[in-house]
Amino acid sequence: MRKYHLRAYLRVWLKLTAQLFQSQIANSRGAALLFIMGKLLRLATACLLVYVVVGRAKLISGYSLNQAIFILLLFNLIQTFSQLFLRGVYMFRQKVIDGTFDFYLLNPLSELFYSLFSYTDPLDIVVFIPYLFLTGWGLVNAGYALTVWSALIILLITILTFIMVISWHILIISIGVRYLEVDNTIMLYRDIERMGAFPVDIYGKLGQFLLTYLAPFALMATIPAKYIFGQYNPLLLIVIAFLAYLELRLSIWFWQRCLIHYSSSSS
Amino acid sequence: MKKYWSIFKITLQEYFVYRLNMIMWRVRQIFVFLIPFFIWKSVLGEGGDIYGYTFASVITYLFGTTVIRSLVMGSRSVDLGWMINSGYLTIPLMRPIGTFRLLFVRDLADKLYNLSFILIEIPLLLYFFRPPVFLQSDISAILFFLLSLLMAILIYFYINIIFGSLAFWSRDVWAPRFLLMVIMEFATGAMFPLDMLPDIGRKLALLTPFPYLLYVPMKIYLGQDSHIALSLGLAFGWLILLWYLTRRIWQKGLKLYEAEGR
Repeated sequence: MRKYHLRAYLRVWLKLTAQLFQSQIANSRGAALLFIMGKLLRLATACLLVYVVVGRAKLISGYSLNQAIFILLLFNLIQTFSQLFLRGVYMFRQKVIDGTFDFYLLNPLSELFYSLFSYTDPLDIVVFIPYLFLTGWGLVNAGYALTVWSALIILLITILTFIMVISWHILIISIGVRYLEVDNTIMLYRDIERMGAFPVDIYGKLGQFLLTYLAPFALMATIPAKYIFGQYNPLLLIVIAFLAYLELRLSIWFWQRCLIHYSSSSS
Repeated sequence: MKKYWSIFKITLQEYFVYRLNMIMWRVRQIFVFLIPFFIWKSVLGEGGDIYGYTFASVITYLFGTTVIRSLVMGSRSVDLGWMINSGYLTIPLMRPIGTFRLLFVRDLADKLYNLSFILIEIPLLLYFFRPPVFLQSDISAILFFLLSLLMAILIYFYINIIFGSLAFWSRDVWAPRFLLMVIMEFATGAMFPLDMLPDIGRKLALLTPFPYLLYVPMKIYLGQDSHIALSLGLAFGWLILLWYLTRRIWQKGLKLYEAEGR
């Protein structure tokens, strides 16, 4: 992708996001407030679950209550960041059914870009800020400090996570093009993703392996947290970087295969 | 009666149109059980107890609520908000059928669909995870459980109608429903048994209609509810109140309905 193209993509993305923000401010301020309340309440109840379970048991797979709370908060932060750009997947099935997807195909910019990134929810940006502070508090509460080096490693892990998350979303919308099923697949993805909110050690060796190397959910919290707790060798990230690259290439290949079968029968 | 039977059959047939969609929905129901299973296994798998719950008893509770959840919270009346916003509500209003009856029959079809799949999934869950399951043999406990289950189904139906009816006043029905979902996930006792909360928290939760959807029926089934009459009385009280509110809100909302989109 040339530099010119990147600028065009950025300009279109900013325009689409600004339009969505204006639409939400104009039409659904009350709904936005309820949505934010719901998100914060969901985080609070998840923390309560950890508190109820680990507060009494003292340890969960070797992690203390404060460490488990930090993992949950970190998961919430990285998951929000990765979802922030990819909300378009929820609207994708409708776009295929009503024929809007045909316009994506005719557009000079990539149809994948429109399918995935054309709906960045500004509410996610709003809740991201309190989540950031809460995660910082969780880190201090667990008795750890953030050094420049560990911040860089976490940033690298977040980038790798994002690449894997994009790959999975491409796979999901590819299934949507081929079989007109997106809604339950994305919700199933979200259900499995929630497994990452807790230390992945609890899922046994096989679960831990799958959630680390196949799906990116261990990367969302347990692995960066382990690194901060001094239990993870960052050299293993080389393997994960290779897998992220492989998943992205495979998902794009699958997307192109599914596009061949697209009949445009809705429009 | 014949027309409602037709609606029931058509609703069931709709599920089989997009078969991959149906399979994904069922796989999701299994994952709902897996996460709490692993959390509790890591904490109590080696033995011991928390809040009086051993691994066996907490898994029995979670397994039971997963099954009850499919029956109580499997619903098509969640579509009501969309029906109002899209103007689709006009169709049942013009036809010689009761709208509530239509929605309830569609709910029943959804529950039958869920129940039939549960009968396939339960042996799979039992085979792979071997959760300890308690089979109640006391007939009176089973009867009280069935009564509480029936009330739970009706309470959830009326809650859905009330939240769907918000579409008469606002196009944004998704945000209040999202908030409701978050509250219900916790307050129904789906995440963990509510008696793990401090006494004040549990008592406050029992003042809302939500614990009567999952927590109370499950405790009655397990024979752990020492105040069955009070629990059933409170559930009945909520049922009457929600029925009354539903009728009032519906009547007011219908006066505002403009069939926009049709």
